[in-house]
Amino acid sequence: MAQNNQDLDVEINLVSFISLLSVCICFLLLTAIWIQVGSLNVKQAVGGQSAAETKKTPAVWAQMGADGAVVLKLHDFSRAETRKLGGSRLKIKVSSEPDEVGLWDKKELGEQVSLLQSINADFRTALIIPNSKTKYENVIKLMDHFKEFGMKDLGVSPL
Amino acid sequence: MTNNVLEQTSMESPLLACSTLKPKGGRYLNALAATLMLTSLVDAFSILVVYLLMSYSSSGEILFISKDMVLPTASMAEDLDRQVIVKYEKGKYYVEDEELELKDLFSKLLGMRKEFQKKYPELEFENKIIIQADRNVEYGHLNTVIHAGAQAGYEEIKFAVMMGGVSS
Repeated sequence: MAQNNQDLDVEINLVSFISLLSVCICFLLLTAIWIQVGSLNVKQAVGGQSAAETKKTPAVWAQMGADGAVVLKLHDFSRAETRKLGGSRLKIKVSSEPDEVGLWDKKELGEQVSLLQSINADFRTALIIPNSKTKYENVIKLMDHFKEFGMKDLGVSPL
Repeated sequence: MTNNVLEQTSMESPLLACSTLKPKGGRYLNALAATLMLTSLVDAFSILVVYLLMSYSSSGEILFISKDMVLPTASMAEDLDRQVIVKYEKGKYYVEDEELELKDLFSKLLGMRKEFQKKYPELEFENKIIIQADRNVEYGHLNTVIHAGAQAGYEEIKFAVMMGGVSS
């Protein structure tokens, strides 16, 4: 009985297991990527297709001002929809938050985008028109905000 | 049944066993040398391996980012895949790390596209470029890259960003 119990007491050789794990850790540490780089994908907004080929979908052209304000210009919305919104130009004012100096009001932008989406369910396209002095970071921020609010097709306009 | 496996392998505290005042435990009694707990070491190693495997990326580093360059941050960014990289850094333009004059940008991009089509006629060229620039750069400098890309037939632009930032 005692001999049988001793047979059950099997020792695993931990040293080789530790060696294997150490090699794995070394390899993974050497090949690990610590900075996560991603991409924001946009399409060329101008050119590419002829006007006849282009399918007309409701879109906004977001013109970035030098002060941080953004003007949304409605394109291919019906007259009734435009009338409902009170015009084809919607101005997003500059944010009053201290950490968003020189940026648009994100909350107001979100409200306007969801309003447009409620008026026209096909609305998913935004074209960003920066000016030459706009900081690259702000262009990316606006794209990011549009994506956050459910805009799938983003474009950027060459100057 | 008193000689069972669980009792034999039950853990004893090496610290208590090493106590010179009141040592506890059988095997370690009066032994001053603390034994190494291999089981916990293996546990720690296993957790490390699992963590590193979770963050492992098979695509490797696509972009080389110099220490002076800070990419903009975006919370809605997608994974980056390998495409033609155009970099703007310190007033200079680089295509695949080759410094170029602004006037040569279009011809270089077009040349790369044509070369790919010549080399791999059965494959379709993806017509995408990755633009890499510091976050404080003015858009006007990147506009020329977008223009050159559009003229050379690159339809999609991927702006390289840092992933996962909280967008303000």
